[in-house]
Amino acid sequence: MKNTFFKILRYLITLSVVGLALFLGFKLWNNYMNSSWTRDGRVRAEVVMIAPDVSGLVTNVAVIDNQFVKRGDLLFAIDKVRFEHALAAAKAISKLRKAEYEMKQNQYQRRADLSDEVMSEENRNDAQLEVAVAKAKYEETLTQVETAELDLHRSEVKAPCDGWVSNLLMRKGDYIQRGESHMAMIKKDSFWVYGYFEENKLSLLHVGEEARMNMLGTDYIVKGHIESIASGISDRDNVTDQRLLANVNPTFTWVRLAQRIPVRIHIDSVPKGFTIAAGMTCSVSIVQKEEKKL
Amino acid sequence: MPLDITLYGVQMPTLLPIFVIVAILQITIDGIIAETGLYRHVWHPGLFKVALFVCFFTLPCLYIYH
Repeated sequence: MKNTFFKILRYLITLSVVGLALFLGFKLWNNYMNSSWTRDGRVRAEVVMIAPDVSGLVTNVAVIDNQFVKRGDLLFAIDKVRFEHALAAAKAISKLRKAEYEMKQNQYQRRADLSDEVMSEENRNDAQLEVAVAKAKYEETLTQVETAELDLHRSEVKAPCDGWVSNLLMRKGDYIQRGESHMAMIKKDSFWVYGYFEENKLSLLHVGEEARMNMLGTDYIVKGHIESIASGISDRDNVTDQRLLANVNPTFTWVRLAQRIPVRIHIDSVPKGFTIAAGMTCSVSIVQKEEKKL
Repeated sequence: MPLDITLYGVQMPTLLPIFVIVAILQITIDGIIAETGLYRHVWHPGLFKVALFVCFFTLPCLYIYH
């Protein structure tokens, strides 16, 4: 009798501990997989790619690497001589057209004053139209002068916003083409965090919920809130070909991993003493408004 | 408790150091149980040890991922 009791007790102890372990293990798995956090967060910032509106030789680089600049500050200047010459030429042509216009005006005035016996109707009309032509030509040259002035003005490239110059590789003497970006500027106060959340966790997240970002390798906690959730990511198994036809990947894995969807988090406060930079890694956890329904 | 822990500039999930600590704890407890002869009352010591380890490991982890 006593022996049987101990036998049952042996089974009971072992199986109850195993049962408890299974319960706790399952619970942890569930919490780990389905709680709203990710280790895959990145600090991002708005980067402006500065390109000149005119081509030419760089005569002056007014900033140094990582310098903070205010909106409207000079970044670099392109050789002006060519644009000054162009402006002078445009002004000269404008003067010529103006003189022509005045000449035609005077001509028309004289012809209009003459009587019909001396001047034909046709000649008078032609003179009137020639005035209009000369006027239009003169006005065209005026816009050319304005364009030349604009080119001259745009040869000095100025900061479009407050921010930091980053990775400055441009040097005095470089020849740069119009529209080609040569300088990157990180806009001030434009930092945000992209938290890449697994697709199965997405329905746990709601816009406006508080987010805490633990920056890699530090104890600093940056606080923010969910600003928006991306509405789409690209389909990796269907890349269109050159003729825009579908190209569906024939291999399909048995084990599927959750894809990650970017969730944009607005930064509300950065702890004192912490320097934030675009590209930093952080883990993001979302503090949920309502208690999780299990 | 933080989700991540930083040791000498390397960031890892907090589960990892907990695992190591619990493993050391488990070895100690295992020694004590073996010493006192309590394993006589256990049907399958191997299974029991694994289950005990899982319990010890999940409890602090559940505190982190609550």
